[in-house]
Amino acid sequence: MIDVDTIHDAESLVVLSAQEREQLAMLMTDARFRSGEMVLQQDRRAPAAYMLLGGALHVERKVEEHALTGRIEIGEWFGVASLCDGRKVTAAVHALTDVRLAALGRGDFEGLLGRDDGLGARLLRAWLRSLSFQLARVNEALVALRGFQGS
Amino acid sequence: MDWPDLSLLATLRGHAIFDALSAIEADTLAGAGSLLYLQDGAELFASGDQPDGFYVLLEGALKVQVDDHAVAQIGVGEVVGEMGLVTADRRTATVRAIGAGIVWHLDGRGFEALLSSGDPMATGILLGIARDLCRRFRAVVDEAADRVPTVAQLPGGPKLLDSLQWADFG
Repeated sequence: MIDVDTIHDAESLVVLSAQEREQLAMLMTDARFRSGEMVLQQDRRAPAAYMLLGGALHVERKVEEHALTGRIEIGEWFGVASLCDGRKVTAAVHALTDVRLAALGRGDFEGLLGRDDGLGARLLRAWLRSLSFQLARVNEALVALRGFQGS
Repeated sequence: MDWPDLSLLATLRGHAIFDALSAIEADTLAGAGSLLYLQDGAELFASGDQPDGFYVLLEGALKVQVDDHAVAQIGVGEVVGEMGLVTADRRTATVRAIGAGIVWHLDGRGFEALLSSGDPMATGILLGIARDLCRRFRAVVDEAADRVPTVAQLPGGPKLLDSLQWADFG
């Protein structure tokens, strides 16, 4: 479990009550990576969904000799899509500095969905918010690419 | 609710929101919504409106507009307005019918009642919507990735690629 204070102010969990954050913190684990270490490998299933608590991450999807790069802000989740749909992540994530993450493992997530206290549904609601923001962000970038190509 | 055409029900039941539900739960959920018939150009909701639940398009097509500019098109079987289940924030886009269409609408208050009572259907609905968002997210990222080699060869292309801000790619 992690200290609930570490996720207390997370904007991405604003739809959870204080009690629900405490319940979630009990399921999450502290994950630390050294600068340069790989957190997620492209084209593999994420073992957990992670919230960035401290440090800086680099996100990169290789396309031939080029790359699309991304960003993750403090308090944001990543690996969520892979946990929700069971598919592989579409980009690699590695630590630019020493980083600290809060991790919710795949098994704990699946257990949450089966609980009858509604916490799984409320976490999904929080993640939907994150996924929608991320979809809007990539949509804007795609529109810019289409416009640049004139199609 | 009476279904005028069982193919509409089949389209609805094909959506990911029904994947995690039992047959009885799926029937209950399908019957808890209502069908709306849209004429060409009809407004489903407008930017600034209070959210009133979400919709699944069963027939026709919808366009999403921001400041009178079309930013996306919704096809049969896709969900729209799902953020209405997540926040009480007002709608940020206007959605209109392209041609005649039919949508299934699940009222937000009904969903809140499911969520408050701890009904597992609420979890199933949210998981289905999350999976639908993931599918759309992956499609956008894949299209963008397909365009990268061509854009990189064009004058100004590498600078554009550097300037774009992407999310975590899921």
